[in-house]
Amino acid sequence: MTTEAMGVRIACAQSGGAPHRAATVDTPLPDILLLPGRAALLPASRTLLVADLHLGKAATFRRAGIPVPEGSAQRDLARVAELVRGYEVRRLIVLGDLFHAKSGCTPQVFAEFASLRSQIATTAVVLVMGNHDHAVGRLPDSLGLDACVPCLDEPPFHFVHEPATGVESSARDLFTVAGHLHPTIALRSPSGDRLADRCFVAEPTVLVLPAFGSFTGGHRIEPKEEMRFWIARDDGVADVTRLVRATG
Amino acid sequence: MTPRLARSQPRSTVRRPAVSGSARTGCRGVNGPAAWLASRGWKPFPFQREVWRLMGGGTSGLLHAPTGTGKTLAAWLGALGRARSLGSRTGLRVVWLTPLKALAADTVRALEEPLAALSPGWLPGQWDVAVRTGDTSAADRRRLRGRPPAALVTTPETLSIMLSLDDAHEAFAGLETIIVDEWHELLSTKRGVQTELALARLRTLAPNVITWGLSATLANLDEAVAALVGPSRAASAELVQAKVPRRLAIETLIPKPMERFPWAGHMGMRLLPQVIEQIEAASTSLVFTNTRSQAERWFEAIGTARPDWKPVIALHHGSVDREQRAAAEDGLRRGRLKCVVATSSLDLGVDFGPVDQVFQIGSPKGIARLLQRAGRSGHAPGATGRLVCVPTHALELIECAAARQSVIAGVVEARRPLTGALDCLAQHLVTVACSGGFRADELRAEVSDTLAFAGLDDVSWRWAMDFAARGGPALAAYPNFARITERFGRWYVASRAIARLHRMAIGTIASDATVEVKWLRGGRLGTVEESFMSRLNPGDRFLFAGRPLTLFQFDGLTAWVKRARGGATLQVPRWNGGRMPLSTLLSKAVLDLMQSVAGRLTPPRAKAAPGMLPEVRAVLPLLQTQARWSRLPDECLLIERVQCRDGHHAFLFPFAGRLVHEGLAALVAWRMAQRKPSTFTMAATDWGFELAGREPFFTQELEWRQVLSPANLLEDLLACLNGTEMARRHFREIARVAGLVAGGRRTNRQTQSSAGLIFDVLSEHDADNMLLAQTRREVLEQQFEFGRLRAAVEAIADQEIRIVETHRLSPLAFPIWAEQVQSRLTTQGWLERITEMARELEQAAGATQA
Repeated sequence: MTTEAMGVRIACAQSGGAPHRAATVDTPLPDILLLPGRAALLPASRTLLVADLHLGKAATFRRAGIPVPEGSAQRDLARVAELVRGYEVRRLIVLGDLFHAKSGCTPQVFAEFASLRSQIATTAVVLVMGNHDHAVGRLPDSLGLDACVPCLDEPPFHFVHEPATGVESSARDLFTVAGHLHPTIALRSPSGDRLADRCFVAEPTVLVLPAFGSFTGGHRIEPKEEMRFWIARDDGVADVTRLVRATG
Repeated sequence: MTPRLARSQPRSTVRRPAVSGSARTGCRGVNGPAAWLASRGWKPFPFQREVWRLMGGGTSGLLHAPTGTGKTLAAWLGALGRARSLGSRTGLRVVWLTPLKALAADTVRALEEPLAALSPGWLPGQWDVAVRTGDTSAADRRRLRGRPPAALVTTPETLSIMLSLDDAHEAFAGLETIIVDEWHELLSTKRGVQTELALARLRTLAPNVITWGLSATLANLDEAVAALVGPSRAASAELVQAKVPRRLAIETLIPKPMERFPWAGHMGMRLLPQVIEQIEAASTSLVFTNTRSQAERWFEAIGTARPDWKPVIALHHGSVDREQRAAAEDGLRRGRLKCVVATSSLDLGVDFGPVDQVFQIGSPKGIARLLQRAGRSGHAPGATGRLVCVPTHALELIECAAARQSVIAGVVEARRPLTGALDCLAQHLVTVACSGGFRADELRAEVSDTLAFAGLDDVSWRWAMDFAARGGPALAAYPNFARITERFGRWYVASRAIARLHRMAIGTIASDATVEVKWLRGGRLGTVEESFMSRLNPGDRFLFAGRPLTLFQFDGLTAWVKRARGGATLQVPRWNGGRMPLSTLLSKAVLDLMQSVAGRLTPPRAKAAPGMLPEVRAVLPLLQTQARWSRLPDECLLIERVQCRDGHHAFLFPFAGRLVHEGLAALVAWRMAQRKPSTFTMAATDWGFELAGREPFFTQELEWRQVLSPANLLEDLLACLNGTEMARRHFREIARVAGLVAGGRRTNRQTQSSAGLIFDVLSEHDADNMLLAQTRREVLEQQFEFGRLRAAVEAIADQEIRIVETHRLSPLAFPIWAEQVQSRLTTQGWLERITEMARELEQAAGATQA
């Protein structure tokens, strides 16, 4: 099902299909395609969007004497590379919080990112700075980022890390695409089944992506009338707006 | 004149004037414990003399005596007698461990009393008692380190912190005696393991130290001794049992018109007028509840019913601010209060003096707990203790009757010490590394002489060392990690920063993040779980610390409140924890009672049956309804099937206690879901459990036998742990102890994480991590009581199964259905579940429209 707000059409990919080529004469390409694996695609410009990777979070914990094993960062980077290749992405926009903290930005973490960069050498990589990225300080050139920007306006989109709180403060007449919140949603059925997971959440003028990183926490979103929700999993994405409304 | 003790400073160090001090001139003091007791008009009990003799001879041991018979004096005067024989010296001589920091101030007061009176000729040297807990200020801590007291009252957590300090070796070198108060409270907990490790450390630092534990009634006293003094010294330690007769009257309040249905929480309040009547008749009463929410409700209800009592009633539970609790305790001690509503926060502690009667709201859930609470009343020698059970739903009448019968029969529960808790061991390694370091072989020998780690194998020891030193055995998985490092054969903490973080994290109680509740105009009310506060909006009204409040603002750390006006309904916070399962012994007693009734139900005039317990007579109509609609549980296993608007239900009644029922429910659900992917909801009480699902349940006995079979029990249970959230949920406590997540107050934002998330990362990237294995084992042993569960399944295999189709919920099924805590088990994919949820909701919507 495709939904439309401010002239921006959002659709979610079918699990297991080959969705980037899904456009047919009858169903034109949506403006934003929500992908399995907690990423989104702008089919028109072949731009891949991911938010909140929090690379080096496990390393930050270890530095503080908390033994969290390595592995989640490499896996997340491999998933980025896979998505970039699978959808023939021309440009990758990271919607903030690429890195977790200064103490976690070990040479190894930077090297792993640089290695991803070289695997997707023909793709442009833009970092929209997040609050955690600011705390990391100057990022080395070796990362191969094509741009680090506070936000990015490409009508009809306004890309930024933190979604503005009030509707009025959102940038002019643009549709905001953001991260930062790590949204999750809880579903409940009359017979007692419950399911809580990360999600995409949209309001009329904003889309917030789920956190992409696997070692990241979540923030429960209280459903409001005009919100739409898509459960976002490694292996799929599904529209649950009606379910949320019926439950609420 | 007796020297004055600075009673006006209840929490600070109180120093006895020096022997030569002018304050003592003219004061002879009494010579020895017996003389002191005599000066108060008391005579030592034989058990007290026995303890003094043994302590004087340098023997360790455990003193077992009922509440309020003089355990504290036995141990303390014994420690002083030992100190006397060892002569005058400076430094710390006695450590007094108490399980609750709230008890520390009271304990200090109780210890100071004889000190003030004893003659300096009998007890030479400077004697003072100080307290150090998590609440002690930095300045006081510095002062205590600079000039250590002769005796220190502290908690297991604070003792561990002291053992992690640089000067631990010197500080404890002169230690003569350790007293562990309320040892039964610590025994079967992680804090007990932490205490065992700390005691082993103290025995190394002060080889001549003796250890005495004080315990209330317990079935496994020998184990309690071994855990206290270590297995190698267990044979030479003594067990002293007090033979002090205590008279006890236990009765149950029986509501006049019995409800047909036992709905949890309803009937309790209906008994309020009867409770008030009895409070009125006595001069002082204690009202014990099982949960903090219940305490809030009862306090409010009593105050509303009798506004004239407001100045003389008080509320006491663990979340109420310390000052309010202290005021309640003080009021009790001075006999100023008519009634105090309390939770287990008042179960422990020194004597409160005149309490005429004790009410137990809800089932006592255990015989030992009933005895302990009953022991709060009638303390004067020869007086009779009086305990009144106030059931909160009809079936609790039976539990009260069974508990009373068990007390008469003289049986009591055991508390098993925990073993193999690697999270505690990992924490202890860092603690010792912080304080001057250790040699691996020496420390291993030391911890192996605790009951908790008596059979510690190479793999576990090496893993704990690796965990502390490198994060885990797989070096590649944990780069840049080290909590301890080796230098010249000794292990030291890796950095001062790590040591600081470790000391902050010491403590094994997995507490939820809490927020402070404060008046907008200033002043603290106490603490409440963050999860409760975050659900409230400004303007919402709730009941807390016995007051109706309106939330003004919640900033994440503090909830600012105003007094609520008007009479609209108030929310009551639900605190986590505090729900004890019915003990094995009591479950057995309940089933026996039911079985004895079953045979006498059939004649319609059964109510006339002579000799029937009053509680049973009261619930007779309900049991008759149960027998008519279904049947009473007897030697058969009863299974009820019922279809409701929200789906299909099956109720099973093995009477094996709530924890076993939770395990059984998960097991049966998992086995059913193996046949066909499905999702089940499960609920359990002490009497039985419920399975709910979208499809009808089995109608054939054979099918039930297969899912209840003892074959492959362990394998299936381990497998079904993955299908439930139980292991993930239980991991929280382990993660906290092992230092994987920070508990309590919010600390460093960058290293904040939920235990669930760490559980997922470990499961994926370090699946062999032994903390995960420990989690599974603890869930099996503690959450499901595996031994008891296996026995239950084996018993079912020999039982006849009776499957009954009911048209509505039977009286026994109802409380299970109404149980608020439910868990889920699924073998379906997430997409399938979403699809089914959507279909269900559409059906429900269609039904309301039709």
